[in-house]
Amino acid sequence: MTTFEPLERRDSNAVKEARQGHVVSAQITQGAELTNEVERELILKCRGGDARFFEPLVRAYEASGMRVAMGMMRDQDAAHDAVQESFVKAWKNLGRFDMKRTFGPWFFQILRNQCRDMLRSRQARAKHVTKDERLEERPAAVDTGPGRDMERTDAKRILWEGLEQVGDEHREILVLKELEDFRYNEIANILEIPEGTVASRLFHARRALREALEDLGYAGVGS
Amino acid sequence: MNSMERRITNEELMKFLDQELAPDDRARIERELATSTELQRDLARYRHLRADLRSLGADIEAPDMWSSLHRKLTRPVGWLLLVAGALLWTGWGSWLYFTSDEDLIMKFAMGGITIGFVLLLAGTLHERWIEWQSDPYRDIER
Repeated sequence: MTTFEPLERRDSNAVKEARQGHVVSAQITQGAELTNEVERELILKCRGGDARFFEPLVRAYEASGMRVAMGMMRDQDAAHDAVQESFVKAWKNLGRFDMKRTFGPWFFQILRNQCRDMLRSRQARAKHVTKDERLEERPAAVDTGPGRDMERTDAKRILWEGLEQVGDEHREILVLKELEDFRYNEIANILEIPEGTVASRLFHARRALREALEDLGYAGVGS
Repeated sequence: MNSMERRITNEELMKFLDQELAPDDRARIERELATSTELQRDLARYRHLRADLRSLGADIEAPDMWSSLHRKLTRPVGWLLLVAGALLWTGWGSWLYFTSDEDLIMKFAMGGITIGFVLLLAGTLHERWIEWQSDPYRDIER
């Protein structure tokens, strides 16, 4: 008699759905939040080597991962590669994952290191890419129509340029706080810095961005 | 008026903005806020900036990456099985051949060809790997 049945009954819905093989796009939607308990269950199943149980984790973090990577890399294709590579690294290292931690900050730590590595290697290789070309790689604004919408798009272009000017260290903390709204303890975890220094680093980053935007004549995105 | 004169540090202002303060400290900052227009203006600026940055995040499309990721995750298993199978098959075949009644000279010739082929293949793969790693244009799409 194995313990399979009782364990089966204790599985969360996400895990059951993953086992049934129809999790997938229908059941676990992009950006859906998973509780820590469900995440742990999924990770335990993944450690058994079944990649199906990794899908709910990917679906839960791919959108936020993409925003963070885009904020850091400023390039849609590079951000996509960084997120995908980070998921692969997370999968390979699940065996070493500390089950007392939560998956999110651990994944974003991997993603942040991946972005940094890619940025370093890109900076070393592609010095010929001009600032204007990089700006063209920004995601197109979702606004439509002329006039006010055009102003809004311009404001966003300036905002991206401001983010670019503040440097990698300021940008990564701004992205984690302002785009993803991580708590200070999570930011400290992801950036591997003491929690006590997060507020100070955020202040300097925000001030640097404000100054950069003032220099660029930024008037705000507006409502 | 700087942050020392207004009795609130920049870090405290950040924590207030990000709702990271304990209730007592939060109440103290709120009292300071009520009496300082400069503080109110600073806070409003940071809040506007946050709203603007959030609007950038809303524009970023999140692609569905599971299918390609799934292939990447399961590919190593396929390679592992393929390589393990090939090694077993080749090893078994070699064992049968070299323990057969075939002429010794033929065995030496076959062994030379096999070892030579493996060395050439390994050398070429190694060179390509080194080349690829130092290729400054490897990320440039044609």
